[in-house]
Amino acid sequence: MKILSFHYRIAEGKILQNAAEINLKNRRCIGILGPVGSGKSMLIKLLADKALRDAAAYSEYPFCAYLSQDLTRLFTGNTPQSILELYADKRYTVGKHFDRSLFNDYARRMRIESLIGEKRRLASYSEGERQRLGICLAAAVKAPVCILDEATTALDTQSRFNLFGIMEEIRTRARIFMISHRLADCLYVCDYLIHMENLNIREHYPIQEIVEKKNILSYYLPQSEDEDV
Amino acid sequence: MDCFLSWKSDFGCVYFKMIEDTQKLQLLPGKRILVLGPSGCGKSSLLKHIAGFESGIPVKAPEAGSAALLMQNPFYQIIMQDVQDELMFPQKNAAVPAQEAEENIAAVTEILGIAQLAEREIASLSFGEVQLVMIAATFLTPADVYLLDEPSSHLDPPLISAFHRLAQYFAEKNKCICISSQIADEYRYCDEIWLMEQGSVREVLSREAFQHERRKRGILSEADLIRGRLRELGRQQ
Repeated sequence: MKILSFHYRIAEGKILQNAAEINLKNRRCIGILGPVGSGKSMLIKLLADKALRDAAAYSEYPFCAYLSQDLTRLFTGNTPQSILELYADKRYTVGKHFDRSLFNDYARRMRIESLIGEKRRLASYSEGERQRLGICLAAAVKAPVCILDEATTALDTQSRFNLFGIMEEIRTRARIFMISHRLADCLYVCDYLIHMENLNIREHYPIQEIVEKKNILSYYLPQSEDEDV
Repeated sequence: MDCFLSWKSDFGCVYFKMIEDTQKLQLLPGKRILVLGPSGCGKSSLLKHIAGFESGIPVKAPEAGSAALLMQNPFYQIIMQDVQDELMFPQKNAAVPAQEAEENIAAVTEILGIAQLAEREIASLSFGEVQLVMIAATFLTPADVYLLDEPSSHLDPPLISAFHRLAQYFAEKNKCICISSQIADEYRYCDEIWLMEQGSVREVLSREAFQHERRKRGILSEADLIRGRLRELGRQQ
């Protein structure tokens, strides 16, 4: 897969663009970093959303398992069971790729197993519990590409490491794109980083090179350890 | 869970009573509080209790002092289509004079660095930008106590700093700021840390005590995680 050179008009005066082709061959987990509003989610929507393929931003468009940034808001009127029935419905593409036994395993590892059988509507669950459910659903969809957009915003440290373990498995069968504003997420699971700024792809490099990126490290580590304000 | 909360008339004290333990938690003017704990431990519930929004629990309405609450998912609280209207809405509701309301918006958006978003439609914003707008809208609601549920969850470190500069700005105006987070790093900006676990506030620590104690208790910050991983990556090179 390649990210091609492209221009995509988001709105008047707002152009998302990439100047030079990026070859992602042999990259299994790609982290997308960048400031708030830099175009991270839009870059990945150009891959996942069929309606945006005219932008010709990618060399190919495989089916994607996709945890969007605000998916959990759509859950609130449903119970876990009704969501699961929808994901497992073979009439839809997602249902044809959804593996219930994988979901059960991930639900146990993300510590939401006991919540699955409950008949409460998801509105009464915590945001973290809803996010963990969304992760398990996306992770159990067997697709060539798995997209996790800000998947850790409501997770505690233990849950994040549980997710990292699951991602190690997913990468053996799928290419992962992970968007996060938490640098630690990318450092622990990604083998390649794309850095965005002002709706442009600024840099991309293997994860090991991050130790030389002083500008990025100072952005995410602006203070010395335990410095008080 | 047997919880009881009440406010004293001096806008100050909240009692969060558990079956076997009672702690006196104080929401004092000028104080910045960080409610810290793992996912599902009750942080959101505690903030809603304080705001008086949880049902089924005997909560006395504040006798003095009012609270403004920003929920964890900011999209639930959006009312208007445009950023400027969204920021004006809570002030119009509170009958803040127009000139004063404009000045308030200018001050808050400047500190947060979002003045350039004022003319935008909210639907065109990223999640992080929406979170910033709704933080601003919360602080533009006239109140004595500001309760913000994981307001930094979609912000990167420079914006988290900007958010806390805004919190400090209001603390200096004798407002009490109470925020929840799963990111321990934010203790640096707060006067007091309430450690929560399984539906209870287990301990209240000063910033200095938390700084001294946190590693002994295995509480890792984002900076700890990043530095630890960078050392490993450095060895791989």
